[in-house]
Amino acid sequence: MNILPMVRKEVRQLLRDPRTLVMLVLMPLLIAVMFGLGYGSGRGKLPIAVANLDKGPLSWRALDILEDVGEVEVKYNAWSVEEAVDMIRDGKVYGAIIIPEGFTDSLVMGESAYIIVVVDQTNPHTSVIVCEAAKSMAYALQVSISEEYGFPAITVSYQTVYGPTVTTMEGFTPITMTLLLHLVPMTLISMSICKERETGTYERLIMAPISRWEIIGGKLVAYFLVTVVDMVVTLLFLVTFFDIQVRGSMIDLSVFSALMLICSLSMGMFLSVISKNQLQAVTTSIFLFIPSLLFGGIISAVEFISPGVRTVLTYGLPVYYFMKGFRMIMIRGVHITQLVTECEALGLMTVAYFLISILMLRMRVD
Amino acid sequence: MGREFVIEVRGLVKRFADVVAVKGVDILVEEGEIYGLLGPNGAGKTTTIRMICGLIRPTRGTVRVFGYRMPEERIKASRLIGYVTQHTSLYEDLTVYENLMFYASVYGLRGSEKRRAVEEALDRFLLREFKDKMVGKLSGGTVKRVSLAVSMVHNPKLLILDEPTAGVDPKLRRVFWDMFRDLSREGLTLLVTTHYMDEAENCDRISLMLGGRIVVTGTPDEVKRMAMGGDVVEVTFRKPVVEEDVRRVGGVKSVEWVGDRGMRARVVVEDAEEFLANLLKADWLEVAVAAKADVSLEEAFLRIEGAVR
Repeated sequence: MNILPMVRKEVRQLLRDPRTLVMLVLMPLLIAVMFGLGYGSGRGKLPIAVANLDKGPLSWRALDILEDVGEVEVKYNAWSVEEAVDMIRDGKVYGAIIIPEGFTDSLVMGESAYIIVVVDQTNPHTSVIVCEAAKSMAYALQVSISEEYGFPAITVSYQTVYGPTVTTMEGFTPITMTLLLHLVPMTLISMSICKERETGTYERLIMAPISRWEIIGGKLVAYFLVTVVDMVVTLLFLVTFFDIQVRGSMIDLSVFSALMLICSLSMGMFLSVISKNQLQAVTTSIFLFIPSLLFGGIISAVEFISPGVRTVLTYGLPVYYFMKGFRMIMIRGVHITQLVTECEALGLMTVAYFLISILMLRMRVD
Repeated sequence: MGREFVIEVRGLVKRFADVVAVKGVDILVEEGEIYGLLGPNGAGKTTTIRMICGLIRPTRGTVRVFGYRMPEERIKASRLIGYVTQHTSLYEDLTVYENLMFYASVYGLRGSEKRRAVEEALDRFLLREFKDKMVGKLSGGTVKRVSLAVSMVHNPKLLILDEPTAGVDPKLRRVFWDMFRDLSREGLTLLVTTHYMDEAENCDRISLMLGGRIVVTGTPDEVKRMAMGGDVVEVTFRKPVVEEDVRRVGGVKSVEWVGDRGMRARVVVEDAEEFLANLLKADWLEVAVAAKADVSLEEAFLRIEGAVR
């Protein structure tokens, strides 16, 4: 049996590199801690708007209940349905609960009543949460008024903004594009400098009259040119074959995606500069992707994340700005010039990682 | 002002985290010579070479190449230097031609000048038939030639070669050294490291490195004389003699018996010609054969190594 020597050798090799060891032990711990801090007891709630057109006592009681049941938080009180819908369109809230006129009267008479939930279908996670909150509220209200007024039915009816034509596929397109435009290019380029170091070509390269910025800049441009073609093809493929409707302009979407691409490459380049070998570079970029996945708005709305973690982590992740901007262009038809914050953040991070990479690139072999 | 050296290394020290790899090295290389840096593996040759190239910052000491301080002025010196690394350092997923073109461009060659330089390199290093082959698919000896060609494509004035013949078959090693001598004749200065002692005979001057120090420097003949303590003459006698008989000839420094005691000796003398002349007149000895012996550098180095230890 030769399996044991093999096991021993592999374990020894895995534990030999201190960085790998840190990755193996510290990173999972760190992620667990981050996860706990981000989504634990101190986590945030989804902002929604409420339009109470009834203004009767039972509608106020319903809204009191809402504060306790769901994972939503009433951020704004609207005076009309139109105003509530506008707030959703502006991206201020993820949904609105509308209590129509006569709500209290109907219930008091023992007749059935209804509430309307308006959700932003742009984000598949959040619309479900808002609807659930409304349902919980309705049910809890029913229970609380049962002794006084019997058990009248309260139905919840749904309306969507930017929908209902937003298909699941369309909802998930921004997520797919995020993975494609972040993890893939970042991992790809993270190996580039390490590869030169490992194969020994770096020694010859830096003997030549070439500067740090030429090395870093040259690699970035090359990777950008190759991956940008890939990106455009993927976008066109999605749009053509999966019947995905882009409400904004295709050019805006491409330009914005290209910005994300160069930002990811810049980040990956930084990893390549600080890593000792290709394995280290790849594991680092994958581990770095975990926070993006958890806190960048991919698996849940960022409002769910506790404010502390959101400030420290989420707002430093390119993924957050990209997801937001991409959804705005694709599903809401927003023009790229309106995405000032998103473009600025991505641009700033690109330049920052680019400059740090240049500064940290060692033109030596020791 | 002193003489202008192509390479001027003084008091070079390199300390790594746990070892001192180079412990105070001086090297002066003159224009047009082939200078060999010899020594066993781990003697500090590569570290020294890398400091000369400006790839490692010395802990102490100064390096000047064509008067440029290394590593500070490396970019200025780089156009004058061709560097053949120990591990070929080529892009294996590019063809021979693409590797050459890349480095020709990086060194600032453009247009027809660049194409001419690349074509010349292909011819000079016998690579025309491999022009469009991936470097990763080539045999070891050919890759070494490509490495040499790439290092020469920008027409440097100094060629630094780190173990250029390691792992190369004897026939090809000879071809390489013929190339090096050709280059030297054209005025190129060469600094070569090797642990093959026989190759060092081809150098104009050599230094032997041991444990991070240079223990001897000189022409191959000088080094041999230093190692042996003089010339070596091999004498075979018809009848057995004792050491005292040999010493009576004069100018003898030591006598070493080969095979049966008293019949064959390697005699270290101050001057071989003089000793041979005197030997003819020494009627107390019956000499069968006597001639100046060839000392290999290998033997010389083993002696020096033994003496140092």
